[in-house]
Amino acid sequence: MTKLRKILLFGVAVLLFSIAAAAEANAYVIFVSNEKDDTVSVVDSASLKVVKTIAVGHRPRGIIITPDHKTIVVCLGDDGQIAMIDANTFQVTRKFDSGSDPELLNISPDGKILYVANEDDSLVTIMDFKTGNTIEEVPIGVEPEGMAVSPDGRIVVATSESTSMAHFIDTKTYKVLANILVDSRPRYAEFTADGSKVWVTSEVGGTVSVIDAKTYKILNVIHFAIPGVRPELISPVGITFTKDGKRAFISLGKANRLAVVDTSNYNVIDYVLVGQRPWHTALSPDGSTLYSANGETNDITVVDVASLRPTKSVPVGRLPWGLAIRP
Amino acid sequence: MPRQTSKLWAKPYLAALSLACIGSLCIASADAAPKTKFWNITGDTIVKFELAPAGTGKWGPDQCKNDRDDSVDDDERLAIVGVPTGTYDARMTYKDGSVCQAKSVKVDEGKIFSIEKKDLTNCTKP
Repeated sequence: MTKLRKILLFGVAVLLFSIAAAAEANAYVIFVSNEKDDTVSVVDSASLKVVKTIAVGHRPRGIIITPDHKTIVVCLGDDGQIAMIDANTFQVTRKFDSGSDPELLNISPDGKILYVANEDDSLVTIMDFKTGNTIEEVPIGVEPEGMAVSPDGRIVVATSESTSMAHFIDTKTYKVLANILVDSRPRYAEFTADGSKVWVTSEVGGTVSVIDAKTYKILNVIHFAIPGVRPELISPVGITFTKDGKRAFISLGKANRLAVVDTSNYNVIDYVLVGQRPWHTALSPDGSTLYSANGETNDITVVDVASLRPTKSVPVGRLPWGLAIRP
Repeated sequence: MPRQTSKLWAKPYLAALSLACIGSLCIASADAAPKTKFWNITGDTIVKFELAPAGTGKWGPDQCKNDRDDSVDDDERLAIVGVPTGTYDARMTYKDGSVCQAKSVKVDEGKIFSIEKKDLTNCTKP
């Protein structure tokens, strides 16, 4: 082999190694709650393979990561508990009683307080993250689910499916400040990054309400229309904002798509076809990739945010519900 | 009151009190017993849900009446009442009037059973 050829081969090898090392360095982990399998799938972002399946307890749904990225917390609806998973070792470390039928939860920005929606009891249970003790129970409407925490931690917004309301709760006094009527069956709430607005999806109503977080006025109601798809199939559930806040991805459930909304004017830019019954989504740490949990195809869809194109499907457990990402 | 008389009225009183306590314990334990529930994973809201012992066609009452909304949404649970452990055919009526069945569904009293979209058969449109 000539000297030049050897140098070229060496250079290619170094380049390939560097690319692989960079990919490894930027790799993160996606945790997916599988409602029917009673497990959480751990997916490596570099290989897009399930590297571990964690048995957690019965009917895992709402799943979050703590602000310090050390712990995954997941609701176990049939056990009336929440489970804590070490985000690095993937071991279940603790379980706390959380009130009946916890469906979804959220955490304060300082990582100290958990807010849990108890679907059976029409309650928001407020818990100390460290001890698992219940601090307060706040009665709200029937069938709570959505739980959003304002960026400054002062307000929690819980939704009640049957009462069709978004409830604004003061986190210092635990008083309900406002009960806002939205379209039928609100499932999820999310604050904008500046805390000025709350977006609330209405699954049966087929809309998203945008609420002013100070005045509680509904500023806009976003409607969706997909050619060839019956309107009654459009069932908004999860919401994820892009890192710059300029776009929102809305999971449309039975319509098998994500809607992409321009947050400046509330116009729908595009619809992204994903798996069947997308429920919730999560964004990669650098904001370039979105993952959608698809309940009826038992997979997650990988979506490129820049092009709005789905690139891959990754099989996980049965009835995937929510996702949390560890950088 | 003479001691003899006080003992006479005390016995029926104590018996009644004991019966009442036993009764409340029975009610409490019945309430605490796990309920049989149907988990709807068929993809749509069911407005009528009936069970028949497998192969008999003898449909029982509409179990959706056990829900405050008289329906069970997708991914929601419905309390099932008066159905002992066994194998059943299920008949589901949807909001749009379509009717589907699921055959040989195993029901265990006090536990949760589910029906998925892939289990549906003999679907008829309105």
